[in-house]
Amino acid sequence: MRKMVPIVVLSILLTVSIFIIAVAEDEATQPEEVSFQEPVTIVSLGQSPGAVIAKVLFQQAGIEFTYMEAREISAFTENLPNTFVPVLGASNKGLGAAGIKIEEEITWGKELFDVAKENTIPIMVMHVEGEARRGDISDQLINHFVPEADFVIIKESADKDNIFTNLCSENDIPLVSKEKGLDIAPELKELFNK
Amino acid sequence: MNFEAHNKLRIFSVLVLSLALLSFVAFGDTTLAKIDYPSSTDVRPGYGVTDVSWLSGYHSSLKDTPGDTRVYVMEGKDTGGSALILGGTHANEPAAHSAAVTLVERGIVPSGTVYVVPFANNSGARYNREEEDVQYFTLENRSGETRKIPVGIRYTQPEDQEPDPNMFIHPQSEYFYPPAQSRNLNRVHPGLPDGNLTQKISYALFQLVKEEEIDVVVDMHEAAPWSYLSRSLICNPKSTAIGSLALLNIEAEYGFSFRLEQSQESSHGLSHREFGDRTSAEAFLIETANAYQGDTDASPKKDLGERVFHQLAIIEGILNAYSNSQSGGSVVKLEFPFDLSTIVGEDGAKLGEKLR
Repeated sequence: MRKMVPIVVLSILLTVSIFIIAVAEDEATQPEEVSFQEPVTIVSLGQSPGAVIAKVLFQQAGIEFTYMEAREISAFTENLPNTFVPVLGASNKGLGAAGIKIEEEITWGKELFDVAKENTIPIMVMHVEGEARRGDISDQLINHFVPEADFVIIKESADKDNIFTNLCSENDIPLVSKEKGLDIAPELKELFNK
Repeated sequence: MNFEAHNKLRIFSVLVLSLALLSFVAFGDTTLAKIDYPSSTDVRPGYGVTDVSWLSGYHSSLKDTPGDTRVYVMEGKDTGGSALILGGTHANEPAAHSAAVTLVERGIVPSGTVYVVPFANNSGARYNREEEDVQYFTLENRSGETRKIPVGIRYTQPEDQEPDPNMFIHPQSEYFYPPAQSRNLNRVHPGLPDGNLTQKISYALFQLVKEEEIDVVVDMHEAAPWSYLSRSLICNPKSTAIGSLALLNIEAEYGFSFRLEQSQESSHGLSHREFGDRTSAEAFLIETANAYQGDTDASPKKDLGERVFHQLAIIEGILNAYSNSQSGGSVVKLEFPFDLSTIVGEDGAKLGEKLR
C-alpha cells in the first residue's frame, strides 16, 4: 500500500499539470477579455456613410455616444470620451464632395489617434460596410489605422482577402468579425457591459 | 385638249397641291395633338388600391399631355403616415416600374397611405421608337396571359418637348448640365409650373408631396452592374439613419446587402437631394443592378425577379424603419400576400406569376 502513495501523488500532480498547461494554452489563443466605457465618440475616417451605420448600431446597443463631425482637434480634446471609435471607409466621391484628399484624411486621423493615445483612451476601430467599402482608398486607411487600434470590429465580407485578420494578428489586436451588420449591436452591448 | 386648257389644268393642279401642302403645315401640330395623350400602360390595380387619379390633378397644365400619368392611392384602414413611390422616372430601368406595378397589383397597406406612380415619366415609357431593338418584354401571369412591360427611354421623348437647349441650366441652382438633361426627370427637380414638359411633371410630383403631406419619397432606379451606383441606397443627409436601419434589417431578414450612400451637395435636380431638401419628406433613391444597361446584348429580363425583389424589400424596409422612428402615429405599413423572396426566379417568370 505504501508503495502506491507516490504513484497516486505523481498521477495527481501529472493530471493537475496537464490541466494547468491546457488552461494556459487556451488563454493564450483567446483574446484578452476587454471592456469599454461610455461615453463614446464616433468619427468618420474616409467620409463614407459607415459612421452613420455605426451610430445606428450604438443606438441599438443603448450606448451613449457623440458623433463628431467637426474637423477641429479642439472639438475632440475639449470633450474627451472614454472610448474613441474611428469608422473606416472611403470613396473618391465622398472625399471629393467634402473637398478632402486621402492624405489629409490620414493626417487628421493621426491627430485624433495621438490625442487618444496620450490620454489612454481605448481605440475601437470599426469597418461596418463590408466588401462594398473596400478598394484602394479604403485600404490606405485600413493599413494605416488598424495596427494602431486596441480593438477592431468589422463586417465579415470586408475581410475576404484577410486584410483585417492579418493586420490584427501581426499586431496582436483582438478582432471581432460578424457576418451581418446588425449582429454588431449585441457584440457592442457585451463589450460595454450593457 | 388645247394648250390653253392644258395650262389651266396645270395651274389648277399646282393650286390644289399647294393647298394640300399648306393644310399639312398649318394643321400638322393639330394632327399630333389629336393623338390620345397620355398613353396607356397595362396596370391592373389589386385589393390594396383605394383610388386612382392623375398626376395632372396636382398641376392642371399636364392634362392631355404625354407627361400625364396615373397615380394609384393605397389607403390603409388605420390612419398614419404617407409615402410616395416612384417607378419609371427613367423608363429604360424596368425593374423600377415592374416593382411599382407589382406593388399596385399585389401590395396591401394596413396603416397609412401609399401613393404609387409606376410611370413617373410616362413620355419616356411610350415605346414607339422603331430604331430601338427592345421596346418591351413580356411576362406570363398565372392565367397564362401575356403582360407587356415597357422598356422605354431614359428621357422624355424628344418630340414631346421643345428642342433641347445648347446647355441645360438647372434653374434653382444655376448648375450646368448637357442639353439632353433638360428631358431627364431626375435632373430637373423641383421643376417649374410653366417650364418644359419634364419640369412640369417634376413640379406636379412636388405639388403631390406638399398637398398630400408625404412623409417618405422613394424613387426607384437601376444602374449597370459595374457602375459605382449599382446596388446602393442613396439617402438625403437627413434620412441616412432611416436608410442605415433599413439596410441593416434587410440584410438580417433577407440576407442581401446594399451600399448606403448619401446625397452630395452637387446632386442638383436629383430626387433624393431635392425632395429631401425642399419638402419635409425623407427622401431615398434605390439603384438595383441591371445588366441590360451598358450591355444591350443582355436581356432586360435578366435577374428581373431578383431586381424587383430588391426594390420592394428595400421599400418595405424603409417604411418599417421610418415607422419605428416615429413616436407619434405616423406609421406606414406595406405588406404582400407572399414572401417577397419568392419572386426571384429565372428571367422574371416567378414575378409574372404574381401579376394579375
